[in-house]
Amino acid sequence: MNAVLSSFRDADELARESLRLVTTPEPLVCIRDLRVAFDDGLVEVPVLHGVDMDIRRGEALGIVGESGCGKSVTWLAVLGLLGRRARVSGSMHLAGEPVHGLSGDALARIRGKRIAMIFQDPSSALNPVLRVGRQLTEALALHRGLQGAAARAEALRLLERVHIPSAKQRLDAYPHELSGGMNQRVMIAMALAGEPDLLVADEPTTALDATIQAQILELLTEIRNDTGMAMVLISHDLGVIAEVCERVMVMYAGRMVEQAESRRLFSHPQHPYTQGLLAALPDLARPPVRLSAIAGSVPEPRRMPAGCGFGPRCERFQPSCGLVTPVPLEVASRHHVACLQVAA
Amino acid sequence: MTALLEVRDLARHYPVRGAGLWSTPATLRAVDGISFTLAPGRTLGLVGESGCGKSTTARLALGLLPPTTGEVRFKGAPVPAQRNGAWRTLRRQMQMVYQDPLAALDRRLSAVEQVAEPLKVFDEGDPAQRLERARALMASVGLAPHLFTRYPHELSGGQRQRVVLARALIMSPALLVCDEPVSALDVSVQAQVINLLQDLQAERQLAFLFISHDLKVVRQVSHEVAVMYLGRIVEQGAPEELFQRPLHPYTQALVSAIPSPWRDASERRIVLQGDPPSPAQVPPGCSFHPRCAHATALCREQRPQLADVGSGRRVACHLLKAD
Repeated sequence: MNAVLSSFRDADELARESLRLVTTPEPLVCIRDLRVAFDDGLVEVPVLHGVDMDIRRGEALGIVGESGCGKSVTWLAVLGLLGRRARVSGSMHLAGEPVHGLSGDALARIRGKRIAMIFQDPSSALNPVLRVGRQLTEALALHRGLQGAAARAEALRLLERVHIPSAKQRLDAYPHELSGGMNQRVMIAMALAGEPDLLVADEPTTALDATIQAQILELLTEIRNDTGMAMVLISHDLGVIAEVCERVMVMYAGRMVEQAESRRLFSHPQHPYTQGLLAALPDLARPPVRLSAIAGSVPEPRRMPAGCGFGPRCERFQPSCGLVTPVPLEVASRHHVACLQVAA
Repeated sequence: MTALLEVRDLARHYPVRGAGLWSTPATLRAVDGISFTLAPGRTLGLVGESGCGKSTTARLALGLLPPTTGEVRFKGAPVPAQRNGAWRTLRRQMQMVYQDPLAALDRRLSAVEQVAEPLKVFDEGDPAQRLERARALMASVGLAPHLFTRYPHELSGGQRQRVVLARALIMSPALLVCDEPVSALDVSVQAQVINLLQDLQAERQLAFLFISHDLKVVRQVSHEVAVMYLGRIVEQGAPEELFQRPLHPYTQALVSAIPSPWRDASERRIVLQGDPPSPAQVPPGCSFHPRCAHATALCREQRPQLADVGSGRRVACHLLKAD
């Protein structure tokens, strides 16, 4: 292998670059030690305590957790959408290039273009006084410099891409004239306008009915298969994540507590919190048994327990858990768990 | 077994303006002729998507809305649709729990005052006795004493829902109508509240009319389930049977659409096309036929009636009668 490599020493940089990509596949997005704190005027309240994340090209990563665990804040911070009161630190590399400071102009050419995001409530994310077609052509002008008839033709193609029936008429519709499911399709079309490398979908189906949710999940999977874009799906619903994602990350109180391949995580959960979440979920395929609930509730950011954030609710709590914050360790191939008791 | 709650041919229609500027007035059929009975100590789950009429049914059952046609009987006596003395007496025995506990609570009253308030409204006991009863009940729904004097915004979502439950139970009702009681809660807290509801039912012989869009939760708590679509019940039966072997094509699609981490990947998911029609424009014939993969000419013309198909299951579908 060394001989092969050395023969490339004099070759042009492109060849070397391509070999490097083949031998060590570099993640599309690489986030290191991302921290977020909110300044409420008196004190800074930390809500994200150092999150590391890698997303490979074309991969679908699910992020699951309860309210306040930081699953959405991670991506709002990465895209600079948190506003002035947020203190963000950490680093992000997009396709190997550092994105400096996670703020300002550096993000403008990435946000919406290379990393697009869709949200829970499509009708509040769309502008209610602009026609759908106008909103799409705006995105196309911004990200791809398309104008006039070309932009309109592309907007029509995008609406057809997300399977909106009679797309031509829908270009002239206002968001309130469309159903929730249709509006989410429009949001997905807008996200696709910049031909992104990564789509971040934050609870994309939570506001939708069950049968419409199934339609949108099917659409997202289909688009990912066709375009090869990577996707991050943020959800509180373990079922939705299992449906779409190859890899899952479980977050609790601003930290990653476990990550693994989907199949492995759902069949062999290791962290007591993940185990508790799965046990708390009714399963239609099994006879109904009493649910085993996790006692207590999620800690407030300003009253975080010392040591492991899950400690006060954990059945396997030991005195050491209250002293040391566990770091993620690899317990099996590509399966990381942040728990002292699992590591022991 | 005598029924606690009996609903017969219940309907609620609203006059609305049709689509477009010059259109003729239309009728929105929120609930369009449903019947069911609920025995003491049992749970009837109502499931369906938004706009299917499940919440309107809850309001009709409590007499909060007058029905257009049909009637509701509670312990054999008709539930008056006017808010008169008779209705107020009945309402002590039938209480409601809503989805959003923060909206259901008065933000200016401490938890224990809210729980004691119904006693004050119905003029029972002196202030000290009321607070005593409220504290005892709050302890029995799993609230720690240091939480009693907190205000709603100082409680977590699960604790708020426990306060709402305590307040609903203080008049010792026989029926609790729960409209999406756990939908706003996190998964781990959802399980706590579901377990609490089941314990309370066992202790107090409570009947629940349990409304939810979440089939997993409904299966967990119900003794009987009714699936609603566009204001009508399309399938009704015991939960295990109904979810294991759904007969109506709409129930089949609903069950198949439930995302589960344990689902077998080889199972083909039924994905319905299109959105549910507006209840102001209910399709003729079977209202599900525009989205049904098996619809025939008969389905487009004639509305199927809810018919018994054996073992207590009732289904409204032409295709089943043909067998």
